[in-house]
Amino acid sequence: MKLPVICPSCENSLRVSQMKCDRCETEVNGNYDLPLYLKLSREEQDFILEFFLSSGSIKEMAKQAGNSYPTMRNKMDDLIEKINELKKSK
Amino acid sequence: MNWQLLLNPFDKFSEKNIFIFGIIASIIGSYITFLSGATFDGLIEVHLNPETTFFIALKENSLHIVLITVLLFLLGKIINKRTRFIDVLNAALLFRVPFYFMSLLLIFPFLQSLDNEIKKNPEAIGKLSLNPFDLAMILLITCVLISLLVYSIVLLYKGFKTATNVKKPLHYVFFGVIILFAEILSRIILPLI
Repeated sequence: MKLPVICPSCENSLRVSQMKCDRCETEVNGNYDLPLYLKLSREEQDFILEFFLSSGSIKEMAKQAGNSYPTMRNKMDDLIEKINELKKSK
Repeated sequence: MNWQLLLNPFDKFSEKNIFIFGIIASIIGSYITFLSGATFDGLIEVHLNPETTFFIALKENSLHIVLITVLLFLLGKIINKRTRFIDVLNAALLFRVPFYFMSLLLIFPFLQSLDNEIKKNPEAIGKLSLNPFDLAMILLITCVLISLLVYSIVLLYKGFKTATNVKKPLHYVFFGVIILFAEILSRIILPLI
């Protein structure tokens, strides 16, 4: 199931208010920040994972995705920009 | 037909493939230009000139490719320091491809005879008597020529956008200014070489 990170009503970032242990059903309530990685869209998370799995080679990633190198690098630059903005707004 | 691929080949094809295609297209395109007796006397211009040789066509074509590549590369480096020369060069190489089709269109004999008539007597341009078929053909060819010119600019823009990852409207203005500047420069440099 896809984890929602944006409020469907007002589009603000969602926070974690409850966690539950699957085994003993202990519930933890609070008001926690989502980790930065989870604030990204699923596609962006997959992109980072692919980058990691291809040993940090954009060229290799481009080859696997059937895209050109500059297209992939631009995607990476946009993602870096987004993460920097998320870090600033923290 | 994949239109997206035609409008933005820089998205999918590797720089090596685009470069090889662009170089081969430039040589064949210059030969077509020589055969059709056309000349690239400006960055975004094609005119008839029966004195064209293959060498002249190749020289003009190469100048335009080098000129627009250098200018756009400098602009690209200012906008985004990660801009690579090969990506801008590829954009310039593909930008020229529609011009080869334009020169191919100029091979029509009636266009050549019309051009000769106008050159002989430029003042009589308004008094030329054209039969409806010739007039329709001129209109059709004009539409195709304009479409090819627009397509060439689209290719250059898409290539530059992919090479530099530009997004700000001001960058597009700079891009337009560079094209006009390259057009002026090519008109100055061409008579000197």
